[in-house]
Amino acid sequence: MNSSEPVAVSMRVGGGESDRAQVSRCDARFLAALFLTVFLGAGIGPLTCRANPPRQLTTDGREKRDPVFIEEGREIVFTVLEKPTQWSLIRLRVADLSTRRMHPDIAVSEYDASFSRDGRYYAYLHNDGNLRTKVVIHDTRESSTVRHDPKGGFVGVENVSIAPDGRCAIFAFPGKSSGQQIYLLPADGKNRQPLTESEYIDACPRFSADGERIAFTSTRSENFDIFVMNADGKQIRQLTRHLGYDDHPAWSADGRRIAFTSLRDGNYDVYVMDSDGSRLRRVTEHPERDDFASWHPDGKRLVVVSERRGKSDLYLVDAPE
Amino acid sequence: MLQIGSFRAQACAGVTRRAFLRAGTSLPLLGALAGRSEASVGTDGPSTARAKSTVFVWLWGGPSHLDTVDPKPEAPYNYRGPFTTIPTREPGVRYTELLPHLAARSDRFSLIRTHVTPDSRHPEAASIGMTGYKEDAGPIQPAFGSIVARQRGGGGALPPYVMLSSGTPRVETQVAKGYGGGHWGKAYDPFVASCSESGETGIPSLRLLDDISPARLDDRYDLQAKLDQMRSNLAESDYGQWDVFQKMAFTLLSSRGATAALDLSREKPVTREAYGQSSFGQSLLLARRLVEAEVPYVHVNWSEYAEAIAPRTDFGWDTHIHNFDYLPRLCQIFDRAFSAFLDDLYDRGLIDDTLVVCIGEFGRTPKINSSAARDHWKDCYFSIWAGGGVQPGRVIGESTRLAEYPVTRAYEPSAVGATIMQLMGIDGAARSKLDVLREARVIHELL
Repeated sequence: MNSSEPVAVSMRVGGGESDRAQVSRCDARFLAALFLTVFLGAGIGPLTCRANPPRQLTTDGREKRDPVFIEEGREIVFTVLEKPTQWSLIRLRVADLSTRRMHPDIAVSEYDASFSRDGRYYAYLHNDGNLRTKVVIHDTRESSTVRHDPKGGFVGVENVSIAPDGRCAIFAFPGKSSGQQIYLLPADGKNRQPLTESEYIDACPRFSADGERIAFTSTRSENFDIFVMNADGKQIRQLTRHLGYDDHPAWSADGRRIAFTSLRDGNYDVYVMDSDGSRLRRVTEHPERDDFASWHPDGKRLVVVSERRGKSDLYLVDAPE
Repeated sequence: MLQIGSFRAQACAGVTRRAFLRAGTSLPLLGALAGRSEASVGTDGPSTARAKSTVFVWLWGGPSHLDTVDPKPEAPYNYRGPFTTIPTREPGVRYTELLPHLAARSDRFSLIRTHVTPDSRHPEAASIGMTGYKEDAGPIQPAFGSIVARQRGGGGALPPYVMLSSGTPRVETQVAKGYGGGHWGKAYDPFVASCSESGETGIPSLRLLDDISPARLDDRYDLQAKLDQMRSNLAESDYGQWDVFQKMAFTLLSSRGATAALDLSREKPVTREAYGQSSFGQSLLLARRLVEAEVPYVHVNWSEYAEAIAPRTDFGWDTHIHNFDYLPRLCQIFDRAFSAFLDDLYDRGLIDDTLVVCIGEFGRTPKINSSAARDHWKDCYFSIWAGGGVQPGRVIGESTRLAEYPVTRAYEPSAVGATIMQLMGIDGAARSKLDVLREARVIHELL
């Protein structure tokens, strides 16, 4: 951690009415933090309600997305806009912050990696045509790869998530006649089956750590909200009910909490709620973007993609109980 | 930092010093190469000619109008989509939640919601959007920037028409032909410079010869050494084969002022940060520097390619699938960078002399398609105008209940071109003399 690393205060700047309104509501604690920030030269970082300051894990500032912990929290895999034309999967070692590309020889975009619990399997998206993305499932033990190509014209897959036991993957894909559904793909890459069926957009499915439930976003409330369903697609329940955009749900390892991104307060920030939708807590509060939260296996921390001073980097922040 | 480029050799034997010196002495006359000051400014309507520079921001791929600045919150879900709307500074005017910074600055620009264009294919619509003419209506017409370049010329070593992009607008399989001089010739094409997300400027036209590796612009000794090295390797016959842009690039590199204009490392970090670390954001910042250096026409491409995702393309706005997944990212970059650009122009007192036009080639289908996204839509789309004589805070034009068609007057790309020309002092008489945009109507509602 270097001396310019952000500290756990927030500072609202900018000219919008909403910004000013929020400043007017700030309390003495905020003003004290602001004073420290401005006059003591401290950095600017996301507000957390806990004592530990965020830890900055990357510093290159390039656009990032989709971080996930692997190796019991010792490493993080994330996606970076490595070139203007290419998303790449990067593996970061938390101890020394060293990074390396997962697939050094690949020259097209790959993104959205997820891993089975034991790390044997991982799935990601691979772009090899105009608006054409396919699912790739890799077995690290057998060094074998299964690809699911939906074929056709503009038929990209998005938001893949592999089951904790590696038996299948789920992803978002346009429905047969309308809408976008959540599909289940067996590990052999054949015979995908829809788990949802609606005229709306279902997206961003994520398995719970026990594989029993799936959190996802959907517009079936006519805006993006967070929903949860059983792994077989049944018993869909709506968790968030706000007109603002809610997206990118992520389960804690114990299945009790879900982190997600929301625009409900006029800016992309990370929130945590209990997995039944109760006890909403705001994790970040900063005029720049915070997004793509993912849980550390210990359930106490989140890795978040935060834009600070115009640069997009990974930060480790405390998670609320 | 400026990347001179990777020079690819043709033949490098038998170089003469005279050849390089000729480059160094004749190239400052680049304005002449580009036909500067060829025609005089017309006389009708001089009161509207306030802009010294135009920055033309090209949202390539066709952004959705419904999901950005022309939302229809009362429309059925399968038209209005899932994004909620937020108020702007203009009473009764709402944008979607994806553009909060622009919404907070809506009093700094005007918005047109009723553009139409006759073609819904990317390259063809792009040519119309940049020239005001269809590609197949005869010879390719000059782009708006080429007209300005011809009429106004440049200043010093900087070209009069600069395009900030990795390349001229294209799709995987086809280029848009209307980016440059057209039938006037390549001398009126844009000078293309790229800008990376970290602010490094590149000049593709210098990718000609070997022996020059990237050099820092702010290191004059290093740059001079590279030029000397090139001088020693350059044959006179080779020089003669260079095109106008390679010569232009050499002149530019020989000018301290010109290289400084392209060097973003001279900006304060806080300024660079405000635009965001994206190629688009840093390109807008570079555009502001070029405006300060009195370049009359700067075209900023969102991307070189229209495709939203495809191998070796740079993520345009063409969201036939996953429109609602991709837009939060695209809009966040745009909202931050374009808002910072407007703020910067206002804060530096440049806005009165700088016309900003932001537009794509078309909109997207109001009805959500069978893939839960939106396709091309030529019958209704938007543009944003600021500075240079444009009255801010206006919303011009109203679309139908489902944002399918204009209810009020429709504006074709030729009107965009005529309005730019008018504000740049190239009036109807001058356009007639040049035989461009003769019949086009100026959008007086902006003025």
